[in-house]
Amino acid sequence: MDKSKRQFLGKMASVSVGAALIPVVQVQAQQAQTAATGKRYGMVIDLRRCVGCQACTVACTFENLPPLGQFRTTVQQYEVSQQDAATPPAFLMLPRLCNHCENPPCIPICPTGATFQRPDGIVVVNNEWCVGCGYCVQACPYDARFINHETNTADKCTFCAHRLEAGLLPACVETCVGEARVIGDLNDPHSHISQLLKANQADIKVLKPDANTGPRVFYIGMNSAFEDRINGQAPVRTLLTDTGEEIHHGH
Amino acid sequence: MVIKEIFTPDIAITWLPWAVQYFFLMGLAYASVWVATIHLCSAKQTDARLLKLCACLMLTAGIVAPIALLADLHQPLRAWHFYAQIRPYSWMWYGAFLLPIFSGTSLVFAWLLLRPYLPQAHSSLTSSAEEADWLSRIGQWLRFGNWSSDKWLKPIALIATLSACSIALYTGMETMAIKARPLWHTYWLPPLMATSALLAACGTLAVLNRILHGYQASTQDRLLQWVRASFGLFALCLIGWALFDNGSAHEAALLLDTSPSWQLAAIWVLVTLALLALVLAVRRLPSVLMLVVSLTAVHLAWGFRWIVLIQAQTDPKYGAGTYFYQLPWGPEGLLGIAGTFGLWLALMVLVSEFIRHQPRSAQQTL
Ligand code: SF4
Ligand code: SF4
Repeated sequence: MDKSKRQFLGKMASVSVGAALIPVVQVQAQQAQTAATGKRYGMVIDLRRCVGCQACTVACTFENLPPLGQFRTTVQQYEVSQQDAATPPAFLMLPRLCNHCENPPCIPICPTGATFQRPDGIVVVNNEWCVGCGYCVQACPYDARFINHETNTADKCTFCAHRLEAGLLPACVETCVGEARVIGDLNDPHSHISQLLKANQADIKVLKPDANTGPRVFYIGMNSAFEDRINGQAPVRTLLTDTGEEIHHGH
Repeated sequence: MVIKEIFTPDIAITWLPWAVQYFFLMGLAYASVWVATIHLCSAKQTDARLLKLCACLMLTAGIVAPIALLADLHQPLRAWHFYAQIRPYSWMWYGAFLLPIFSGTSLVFAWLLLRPYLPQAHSSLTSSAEEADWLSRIGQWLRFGNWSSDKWLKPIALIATLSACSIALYTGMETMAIKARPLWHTYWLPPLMATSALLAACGTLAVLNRILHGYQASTQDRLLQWVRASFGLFALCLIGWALFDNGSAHEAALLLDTSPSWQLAAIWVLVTLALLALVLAVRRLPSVLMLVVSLTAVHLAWGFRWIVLIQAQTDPKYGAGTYFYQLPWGPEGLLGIAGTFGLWLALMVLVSEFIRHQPRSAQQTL
């Protein structure tokens, strides 16, 4: 081989190799199964009671410690104005989280079975088994999942399963000043959530009802314009990079 | 009613540019298997140069592509988890099996095609004895003896081609299967991916014919036909998608209405398509123009993958407008892209070093 080629090979090799093989995290057995309790957890969010204070966002972040710029729950805020100038604009606060769908598209596509649904309906990720392929993040129609920059695995709301198991409420529910978030057992007709769903039957909505996902997060007081993808104007967006640096762009 | 988003999170992309590199390089590898097999089975007189180039491409791209794929996993060292359970509803899980099969079959196919060009025990390669020594020794060893492998060529070609089809199918379907992304969820996507892969492979082969020692004008003419055919197929699929698809094409139309970056992408695709169509309509192309056409075809196929895999992820699933993406400099961005291409180029140079030996007789050239 001539010298120039050899030098070239050496240089290329140093640029090329490496990036593929990043951290090793210890791997343990696959899913930790939960015993069947006959419960089916769900959440009702009463939008009439939400003031958009983001206390739930903060509480969730404190409880579950996602990396900077990544969230398991957020409250999205929208300005809704009517065509006529006389009516002042209204604001809608839309708390968002994983819907713990009855028919979750994020599960069947997972190539390792790391994401699964517990008998109580909660959809969770075994982050010691997840390979971080991001396939489930693509498959969730609600953008409820993300690849956690720190664990390099799929992450999402778990309804605070660890707190529920200890007899506590999820952090977001616990902290909600307007008591807009109610969690409970959908299988129990006497539970607060079942009663609430019954009492507000005509006004219950879910996100993307046509996606055939069967969300188990229900909204009271939501205009049907918010059921499907927002048809409106986007804000100026900013994005935090892995290193916490903020990047902007306008529309 | 007018809705304005006031406060919503921006969502980062999940599949990184590594995915584009994987889909692109894998496309080069499987499409060059197709070209080689179709040529082997259809041509009255085989074009040894074309087969040699195909072999180099399937070998090198087929090695680098899985590395890019591994890098796109956020936990690459857990890749073995794919094999520890049965996940019959996941295209990606099938891919975990189809990919190593393809690596194996295309490697054997490439080896059979290149074997006649590996140095033989008694031939001396160059006058520089010291250099010839280790290179030719490895080369001789890679021949695994001096037996004739011709009779294995066609059966292996067929097996490798079937395997190549399985890769084209799984990579297309894995993306197509995502209902949550209307842009991807169209049956036109797998054929678009496959035809653009063929276009990219033919373009790359033409570039390789020009830059690797031993340029053959007749091979270039043949490749021009291949580029024309694959370009035609790709353009037909694009037209079919635009006219007959209502989910994905409808979503694209919505994005075109509102997003400057999508408008730019559309202009780029249309201008490149138009230019290529114009130049490819010319009967005989001067060799410089052929090189330009080939590179343009390759860049169209790569850019198509960029739009499909990266830009499509900026299409919000719930929010308005588009999300923001800025190509980072590091391994998860530009360095990753440059690194995979660099590795491919380095492998190409290495392989070209091994196969400089000329077969002694015409029969030996396949
Ligand atoms: S909201 Fe998304 S992540 Fe949650 S269960 Fe449904 S599909 Fe899965
Ligand atoms: S990122 Fe993890 S949980 Fe999601 S599909 Fe891949 S392996 Fe499964």
